[in-house]
Amino acid sequence: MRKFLFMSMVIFAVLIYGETLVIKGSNTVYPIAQLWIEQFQKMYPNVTATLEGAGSSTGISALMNGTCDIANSSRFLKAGEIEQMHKNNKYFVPLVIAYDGIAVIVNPTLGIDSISIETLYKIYTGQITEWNQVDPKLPKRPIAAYSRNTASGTFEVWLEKVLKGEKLSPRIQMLESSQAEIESVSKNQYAIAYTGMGYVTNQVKALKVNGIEPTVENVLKGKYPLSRPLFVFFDLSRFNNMWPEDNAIADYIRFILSPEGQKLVEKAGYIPAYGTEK
Amino acid sequence: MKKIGEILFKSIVFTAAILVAAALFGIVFFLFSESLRAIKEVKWGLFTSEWFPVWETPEFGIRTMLLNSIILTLWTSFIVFVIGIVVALYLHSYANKKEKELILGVFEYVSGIPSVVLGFFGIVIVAPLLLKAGAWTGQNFFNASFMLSVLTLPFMISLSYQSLEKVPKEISQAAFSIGAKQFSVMVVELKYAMPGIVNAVMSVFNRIFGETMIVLMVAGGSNLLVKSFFDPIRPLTATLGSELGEVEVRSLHYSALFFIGFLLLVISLIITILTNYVVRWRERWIRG
Repeated sequence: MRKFLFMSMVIFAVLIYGETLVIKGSNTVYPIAQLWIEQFQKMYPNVTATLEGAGSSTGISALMNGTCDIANSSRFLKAGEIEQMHKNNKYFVPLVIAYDGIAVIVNPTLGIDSISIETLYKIYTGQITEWNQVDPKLPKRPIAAYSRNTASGTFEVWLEKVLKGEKLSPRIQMLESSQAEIESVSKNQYAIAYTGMGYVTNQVKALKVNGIEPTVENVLKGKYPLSRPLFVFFDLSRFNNMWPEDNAIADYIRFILSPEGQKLVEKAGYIPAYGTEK
Repeated sequence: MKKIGEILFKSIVFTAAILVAAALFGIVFFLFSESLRAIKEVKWGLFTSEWFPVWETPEFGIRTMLLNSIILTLWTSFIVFVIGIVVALYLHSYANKKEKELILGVFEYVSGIPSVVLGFFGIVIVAPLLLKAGAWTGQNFFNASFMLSVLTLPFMISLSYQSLEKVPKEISQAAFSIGAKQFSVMVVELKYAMPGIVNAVMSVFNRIFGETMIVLMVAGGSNLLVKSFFDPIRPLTATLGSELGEVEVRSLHYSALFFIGFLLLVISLIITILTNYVVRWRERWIRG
């Protein structure tokens, strides 16, 4: 009974004094945000943070109608969203918090080191189905091309940068996870797939794309063609367009941009946008 | 006092029954109402072969996936049916007591394996073997069919075996006494046990048709109409399992996925009702 009373008092106290932080949005940013709020809750126990991954558009529209404090997004605002934002006299601050770099992987035994976006486009739209069409030196074997399922954020990049909005060939095999891709490519000599750069292991070979190696440096220099920035948005108009100093949102932003927060980006398999050294 | 207890018991049982019926009705209604938007907006486009849910101009055609589901289920059920009957007949007519105990015991353990474990087995063990055998991809129709057979065979065998055991001894003895050979006796027994076996096949059919985890992991995941055993495919349940978790709630895509769920439920209900009708009221059709 005493325990119960104590618990209810704690809950009551949190309700009165505690702040809440509602975070919504992209599924791509979700694994990073999950690590962030885990750590953030330890640092600020009086803040109750909730996280929901339901897609970038959902997060931004929730920020628009005030049902969340922070919107995670794997893309920048669309023209219509900017227009609506101005109409409502709001100002969403875009913070680049990480980069999502995509590596193209093949089996280590396949005699190929580099591939062009053009060839990838042809493979994934079904214009090329055998390896000797990619390079006459390669064997005449069908290409087993894997893709992440359409729910994945990595797929979104692929759709935009490689497929250029074109339809995927029905031959392409959809896999549920990056691990399944690594597993499949490491077993099948004639397979190709793409995955977040953080997931690449030495069981597979990451190809150069348009001659550029998929390294963290090349993504940060903007040379590697298959990458995109990931964003966090918050609404400045709630604070009379002054940068917030002493509330949960300010604490959260300071934390995610700090070296400690950026280290968690690395842990989630993405490329940190800022330094991770103290 | 006794009467009050009886009334109380009756009312509890009655409420439970009503609740179950209401839940079933509720599920059907919920699935239908959520899929209404897709039915209204996509109309017959739902039955084209193009499934491109997240593209600029999305398309929600489920025909290829539906056909793949049906082909995979029919083929696997057929294999399970044949193997199941052969094994059950062996157990019934030839096996001695020790063999029976051993085989039935093994199947009892196998039937407890979760489908996700079977899927994992398919990826790690069966897929590389298929690649060695010359398939261009390890996750394909054959792999899915094989793992689904492993999943449902124990069930099929034990049900068929039980139906065969229930055949009255008089029937086989009568057949022997008029000079029938062992084979003809087995045919007679099979005919007598057929309603039970048909029931088992239909349950297996429903189980395979609705199985999600195995096909998600080993069927291959490509929207290609199956033409050979080594083609990768993506049955309806795999799409539902893969995409429902991440879809924006109440969007057209969400609604189209619920339409798939609704369709799966309707097909499985039709099969169940048909089986009950045939097995209960039309036994003669089967027994001949």
